[in-house]
Amino acid sequence: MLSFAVLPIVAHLIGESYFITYATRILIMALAAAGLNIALGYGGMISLGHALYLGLGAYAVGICAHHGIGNGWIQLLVALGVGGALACVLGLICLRTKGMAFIMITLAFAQMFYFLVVTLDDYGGDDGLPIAARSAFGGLNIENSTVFYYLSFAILVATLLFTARMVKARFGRVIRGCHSNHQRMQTLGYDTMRYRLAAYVISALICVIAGFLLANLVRFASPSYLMWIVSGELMVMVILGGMGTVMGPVVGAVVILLIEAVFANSSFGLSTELATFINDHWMAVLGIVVVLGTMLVEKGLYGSLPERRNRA
Amino acid sequence: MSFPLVALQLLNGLQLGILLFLMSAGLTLVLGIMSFVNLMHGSLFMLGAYFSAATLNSTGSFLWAVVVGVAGTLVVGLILERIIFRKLYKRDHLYQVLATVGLILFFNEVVRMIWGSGAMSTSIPEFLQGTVQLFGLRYPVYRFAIIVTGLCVGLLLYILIHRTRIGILIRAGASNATMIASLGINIRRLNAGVVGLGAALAGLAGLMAAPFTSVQAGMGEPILIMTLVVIVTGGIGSVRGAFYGAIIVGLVDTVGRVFLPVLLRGFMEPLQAQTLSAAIASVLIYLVMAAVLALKPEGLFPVKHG
Amino acid sequence: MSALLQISDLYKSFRGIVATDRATLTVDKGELHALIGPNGAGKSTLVNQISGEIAPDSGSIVFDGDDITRWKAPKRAQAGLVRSYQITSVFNDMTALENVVMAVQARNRSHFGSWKDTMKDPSLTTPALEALELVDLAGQVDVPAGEMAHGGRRQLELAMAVALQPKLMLLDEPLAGMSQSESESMTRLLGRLKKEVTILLIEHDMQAVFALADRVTVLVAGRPIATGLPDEIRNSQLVKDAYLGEPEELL
Repeated sequence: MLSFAVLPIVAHLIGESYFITYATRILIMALAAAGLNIALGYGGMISLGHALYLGLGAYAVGICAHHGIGNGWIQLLVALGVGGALACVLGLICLRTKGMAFIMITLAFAQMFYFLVVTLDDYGGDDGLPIAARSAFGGLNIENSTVFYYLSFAILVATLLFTARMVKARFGRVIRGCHSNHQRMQTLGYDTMRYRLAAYVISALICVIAGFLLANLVRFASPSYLMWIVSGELMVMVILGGMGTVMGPVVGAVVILLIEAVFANSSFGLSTELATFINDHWMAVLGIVVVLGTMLVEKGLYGSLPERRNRA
Repeated sequence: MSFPLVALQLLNGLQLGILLFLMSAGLTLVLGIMSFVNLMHGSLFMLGAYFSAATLNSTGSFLWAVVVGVAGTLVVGLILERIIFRKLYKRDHLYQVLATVGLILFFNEVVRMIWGSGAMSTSIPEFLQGTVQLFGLRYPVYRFAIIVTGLCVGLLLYILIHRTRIGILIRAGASNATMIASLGINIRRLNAGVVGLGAALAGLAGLMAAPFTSVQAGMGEPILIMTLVVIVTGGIGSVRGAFYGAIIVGLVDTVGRVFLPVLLRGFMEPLQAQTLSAAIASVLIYLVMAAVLALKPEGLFPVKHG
Repeated sequence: MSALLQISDLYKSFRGIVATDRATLTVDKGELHALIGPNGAGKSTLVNQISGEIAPDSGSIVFDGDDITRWKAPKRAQAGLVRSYQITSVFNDMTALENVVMAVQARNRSHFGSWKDTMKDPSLTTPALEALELVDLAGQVDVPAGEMAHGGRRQLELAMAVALQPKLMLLDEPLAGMSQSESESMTRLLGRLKKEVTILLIEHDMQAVFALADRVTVLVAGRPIATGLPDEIRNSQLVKDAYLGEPEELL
């Protein structure tokens, strides 16, 4: 199961800084997808608004830095505190609805915060907020790309381990039960709202951490992190990678970002015109892949692997 | 705050509401009857704008622009229904979201491929230019035409839904989809029809909005999200809810943006008032939606399910 | 006489149609009380009001001394009022054991504390296995519920109800859709269960009803028209008239 996770380390050893940055980006998106997976993959809560928490994490860094607070611990505390509170409030409102309404409402609220952030001219507004330096964590110097890479890697691994333990423990089972048969859970005596809200908040907090890391990686906080398309991308990663599996989101993130890297940049040995055409419009390819993937795939890439099918 | 100024904003709010109604009516039916979460509805709006603008720019004929705009989106909608949507009706909403998000990406790129990344500009046809005297102010003819057209379409929809056999099927479908399927009605044609109708309405909204919005890739999504706000507020599956919801959202958004600064300037520093009002105005409609949901999660005019 | 469940003057109407018409019903502790009635009598609606899934328009429900009329479904289950469904409602993607563990787990108040894999926790798996043993499903412990035969799934449904250690079991047509032999098994099982727990049994299968019931209530058009010992009900003219067109059922 962890064989996939070993690959990034190998790639790192090559040492080209661009690769390290790109690999770190993959790790961060995998983290965000892993976060969404808890609410979506295990909990069945189709939230199209998780990009909100990604952006929140990023802006926590940006806004703190803007006001001279460079200490990573404080920034993180702010991010988790505000993110957690917001997730509680939004979760309480959204979880009273279900099905289609839930999807649409989570999307609407995420968009609401996007607009809110864009109006904050003091913090860059539409252009985004540059961040002078990465968060200061006392002994740990994350300005160093390698160090930062390993930090992100460690956090991702920790999250995956957490998820793996959680889904088999009581709380995780309750969440999965709510997804499997909500009515039954209620008549078994479970206070479903409480547990679903908790799962939603945990899921959001993981995305906040991912956003925190993202802002540090690119030293920038942009409103574009909150756009619906990011939520959509995360969802694609979770679903096509394998919902309700621990590694699924990681596989999904790797695949989607690789598609982007490949189609946006390489030439496939085709004529320059055709290659440039594909490079410019790679998103259309992604769109088609997603549509086809949806129509054909039931369990996601990871879930469909032969040895997993036998495990049932 | 003179009456003409208030009237102007109310009319503008109404006009926005009408466009949102055209978008919401079709989508709410698709949601209510087929239980199909079609997030690419905004892309149909975009296609309507592009088809009509391109036609108008090349032929100069407004009539052709309207025809191509509406018929074009209708055709696209029907094709998509046939090859993609239909296969997803029975599947979890998740996959519907996924597929339609993929389609959004696809169409945004296709539009860039054909017409480039820049905004396409198009102009208001001559016979709809100028202003008209209304309620003591001069109101642009074009915007007034949108309001009138929208109300007529609303009336036609009302007649369709409440006075025809097809309408009965639609209302029954919104209330109990499995029931009409078991009655042996040709459900496939009904579904295609509903999607087609929605697409055509979205195309109409798009072509009407084209002259005064930025016609470019991605223009559909902001409208889509406002449409979702309308539908959620009005009640999924309810055309009446779509109508009232759209008018409310249109008015709140327009009036809010204009009058909130005025209101806030009354008791705070101008600079504070400016920032605060800009922030609140941009999210006002979402706050209204949240308020409605807090009190009535099914929306203002929910469809009663049999 | 100790009434475990007391339903008084329960009334429920749906847009003009009266589903429950001032129903009054008592279930005594330790008895197996059968609720029968022709189709459309409103048995399902009544059951849903008892379990807390539908709220009555008026009337009251008292359970074990508490007025539970306004209580939500989870609270009722926690208090010991447990139901099973006519259309099997289990966790299809989980194995039989996982299903019952889910029920056993529900006995606790909080599910946040522990990190232990529930399927490796004897405090959960042992009672679950016992419940499965009781309903004769010991051989299918690792079979996903979605792949089990209809009869097995009904038994699973029952195992989950039992695993909750209920005070009152509300069984909604447990024999629904079963073959003759499956019905006989289930009837014997219910016979064993009735010694441990009070049961309110909704059933169409008259053989089972008269084999098991201590008392029978007949529901017609949302109202109980007769309550009494099985033989009284079987011989009552009032009841026979109510079942007009379905006399074979009572014989």
